[in-house]
Amino acid sequence: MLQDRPEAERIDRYSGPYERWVYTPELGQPFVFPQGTDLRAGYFTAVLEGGDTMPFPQGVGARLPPVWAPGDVGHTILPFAFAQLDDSASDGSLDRMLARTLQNAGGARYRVNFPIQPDAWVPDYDRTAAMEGWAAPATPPKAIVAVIDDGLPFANRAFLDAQGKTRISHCWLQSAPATNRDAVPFGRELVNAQIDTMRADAAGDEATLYRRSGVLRDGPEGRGGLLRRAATHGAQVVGLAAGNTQAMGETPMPDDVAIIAAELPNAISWETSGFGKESYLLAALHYIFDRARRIATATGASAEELPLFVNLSYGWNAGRHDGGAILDSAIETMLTARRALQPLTEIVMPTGNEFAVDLHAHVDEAQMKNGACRLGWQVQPDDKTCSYLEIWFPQGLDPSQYQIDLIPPHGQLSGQGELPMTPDKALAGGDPRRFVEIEMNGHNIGQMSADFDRGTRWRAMIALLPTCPKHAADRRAPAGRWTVVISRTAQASPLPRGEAIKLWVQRDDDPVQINTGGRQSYLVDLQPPPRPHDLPVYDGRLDLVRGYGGLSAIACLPGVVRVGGYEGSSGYPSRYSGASPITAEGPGSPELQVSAPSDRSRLRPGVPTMGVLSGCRSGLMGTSAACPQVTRALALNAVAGRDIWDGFVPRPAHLGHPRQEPQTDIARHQHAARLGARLLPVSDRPL
Amino acid sequence: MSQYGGLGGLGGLGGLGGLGGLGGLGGLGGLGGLGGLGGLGGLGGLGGLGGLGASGSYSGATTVGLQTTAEGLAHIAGTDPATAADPMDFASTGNLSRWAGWVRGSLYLTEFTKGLDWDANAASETVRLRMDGKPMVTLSRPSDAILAKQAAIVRDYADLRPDRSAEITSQLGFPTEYFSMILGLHGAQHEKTLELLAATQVVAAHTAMIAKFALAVRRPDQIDGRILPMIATPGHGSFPSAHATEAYAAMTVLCHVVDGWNSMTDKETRKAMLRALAERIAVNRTVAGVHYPVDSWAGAAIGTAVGRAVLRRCGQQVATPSFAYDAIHADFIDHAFVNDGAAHGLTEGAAYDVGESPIFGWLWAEAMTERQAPSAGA
Repeated sequence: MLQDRPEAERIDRYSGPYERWVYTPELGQPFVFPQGTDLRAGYFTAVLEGGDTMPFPQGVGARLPPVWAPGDVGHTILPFAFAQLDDSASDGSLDRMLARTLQNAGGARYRVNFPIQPDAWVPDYDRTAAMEGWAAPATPPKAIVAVIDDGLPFANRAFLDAQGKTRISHCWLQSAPATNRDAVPFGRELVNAQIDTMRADAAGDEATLYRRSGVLRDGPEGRGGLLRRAATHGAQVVGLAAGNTQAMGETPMPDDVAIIAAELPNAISWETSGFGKESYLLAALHYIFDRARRIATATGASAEELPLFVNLSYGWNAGRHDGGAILDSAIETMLTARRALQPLTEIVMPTGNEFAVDLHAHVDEAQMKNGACRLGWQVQPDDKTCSYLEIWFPQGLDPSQYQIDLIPPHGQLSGQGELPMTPDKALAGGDPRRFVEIEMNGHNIGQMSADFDRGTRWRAMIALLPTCPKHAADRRAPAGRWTVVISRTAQASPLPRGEAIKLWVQRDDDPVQINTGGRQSYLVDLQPPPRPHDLPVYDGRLDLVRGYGGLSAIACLPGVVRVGGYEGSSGYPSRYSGASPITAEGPGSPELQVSAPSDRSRLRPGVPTMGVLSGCRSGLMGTSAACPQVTRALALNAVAGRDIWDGFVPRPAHLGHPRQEPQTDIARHQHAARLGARLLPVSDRPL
Repeated sequence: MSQYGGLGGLGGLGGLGGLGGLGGLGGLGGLGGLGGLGGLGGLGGLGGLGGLGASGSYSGATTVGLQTTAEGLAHIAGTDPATAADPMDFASTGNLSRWAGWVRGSLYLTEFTKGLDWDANAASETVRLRMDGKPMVTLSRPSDAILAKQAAIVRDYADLRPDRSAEITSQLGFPTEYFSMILGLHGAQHEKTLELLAATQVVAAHTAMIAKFALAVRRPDQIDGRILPMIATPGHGSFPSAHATEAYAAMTVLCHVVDGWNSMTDKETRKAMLRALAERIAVNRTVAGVHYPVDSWAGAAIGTAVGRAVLRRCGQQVATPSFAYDAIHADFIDHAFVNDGAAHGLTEGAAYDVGESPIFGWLWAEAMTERQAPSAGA
């Protein structure tokens, strides 16, 4: 049972519903962080949305990462890290300590992200040391490819230039154990000459190099395990984006394309909600922009900023999907400002792999029958992680006549399981919001929340505990079909034409065997329309639960290149490839710019790429594989002075197989929503 | 029917299977008897006992056919007493190539172990392995406190199980194929080199078993219920690791073979890969959940010492410093084993003597003829 907090110690006053759930001991906290996570050490990442003033909390050693802010470029949203929590709260619980810390900072919004391992906190953070030890490459760079990922094999020979020196100019390993002094606030930065020295010292034994480099963390919670695997997501992605290996048969990346890498902590796979990643991602992006600018200056480039292509093969499923999230605004500001200085600035992101797993529902007016829409939410047994469902109301719609009801698969909730979509007047300060604890047999098993996200759009969110007993058998959510009812009073105005209440289930699986124990919950249409006898690629339907619009939330931010995946042999979209939304009126926003091969064929999934150690090969499937191929092509075009879309082909008018695509407007919208505007052709490399 | 007593001899061949079983008793690999069989079989490089000069068991039809044929032909041989023939050379290595591989295997084993002795000190909980009378390796039993800490490393290594499953399950017996891959060994071209490799692994395994018996250290999964190993818990003690012992012994001998051949232009690279392979084989056992890293430290020490002893038996002049290992909690890393042993509890001491064996000397000479170079086989 949740104890009431004094007003000043309510974390939701300064932060969002995820933070309340994740950091409150009576709620999700015991289930969110892996055993051994040192929360009490008090090192955290966070995002501040501060408007014109940037009120960082006082007395907590708040640190800004390297921030890209040339000339008059200003930011109202910034990532930061802080330490030394105020532990004077009465019971010392983490949510109260965080609240008291943030209380001192004024009325800004904070997203408190995942903690930093204590040994990754740099004792002497010196931003002026940015280029220390860096060596100018023999060939001055004319463009930069940057990769944000995990498990980055920075010593791989795929990144060597003709002189045998690494093309990786800068590399920020965000969760590496810190050295005494560094140019990054946490983790460790490696510059090119350091990597070259490591390579020379290791005499070709890369496995030993990584172990002796001091950048690996032992144990499954860190990278130690990851880089010792045959292949990591980061190795596969950076190989496709910027590696030169003979294994892949790719067009070589010339020596005048430098590489900047930012390695996210493996830890961000710990929690299935996307919230914990924002600060790390934003800090990585600032770092990349900042180092790119320093490279241009140090190499005497004619332009103030070099062409820059950032690959971000990452994402999460739930979120606003409208470009209005805090991270969206921050990155859009950066993109716009940098493009004013260097038009060739692109961030390339995959659409995700959740098209066919029923994580998205589209509730328009036609679905509101007798003032209500009922959906099933199938929560799997043996799920060791929390499950999350977000319900977003159309921007501009006042949902005060709406209510969300939650019915468990069996048993009875202790409370009502009813969430009116109205502000709780008892909660002063902060964004308008309301919370309902989900309790069963007197024990908390979840949280329902309504919040006016960033003061612009209403969201309901349901968080459920794991279904697998983890610590206490009486605190777990029952597995099975939960029912979610979205209802409204007769006085409520109908949903506007073309608008819908949209649901997204947060991604909750364990794709690279980090052993989170996550099992993906999904949405169920309780009155499904009959299925057709065959299963065409495009069904021409507008179902309640659908893949269209179920793309990665972060890929929706304005101005980025969104990449879907297709099967090389057939040209069909890969079955999992995330797609843009569609409505009866036509394609929705945001649209996909491009698709690239993510499978060789239906029977040969994935595309070939490199592994961790030099000469190692592996296969990567998913839009994560399509994305870096586009990044590479854009960079190759830029450095050759061609239009960046040179060599891409327009999306074909149809698949060329009548049974796969009914000749309807909706099917045509589906075709565009899945493949995007153009395709990166299958190269003549051996697929 | 007395002439069919020969069939009893066939029964004796069946007894050879029992010898394979002995290998199993020796615990030459996780597969037990199978590993042992492969080990002895591998002596001939043909991989099977039946192919090594043992005729194998005849099918029932063949047996009956042979008997009826004998009935039909025996009268031609007449009834005179058999005449004496010239004897073979007495106790000569010149005969070795005539014997079945398993026979040579017995000789290698006894030639090595006739110098192998040990004593255990209950007060200090140490075991001292001696070779030809002098201390070769002394191991102290690791404390329970160290093992408890080591279990945490074992748990962490489980992260690599999806990556290493195929290696781990195919390395339950001797990982001969993995060494063969690095040196391009083939049964037709490198019969005696493979025999030397097999003999080395067999004697290494026997040596490790002595230390395991004396020190009696429980397996990781027997002190920490979270280990949950991915392969069967072996039926012998954890410390030292026999896989590490065998791999380091094999690596030590093969590196010397590569130098002896002097026929590979990239021999330093091959030797580096052999080292890395030995480390990997040892670490794979920790990944599987059946060995602590300190087991690999001890095994690498014994294996290195045994490999050098084998080389000395072969008549090769290599240095043979003795080792003493008193475990300090740490992960097992070959780089540290080579460069930083003292900080990890591994010290070198007075050298041990190893006498040359004509049997091993013959095997070494044979293996040296298998170098691939223009003069080879000319």
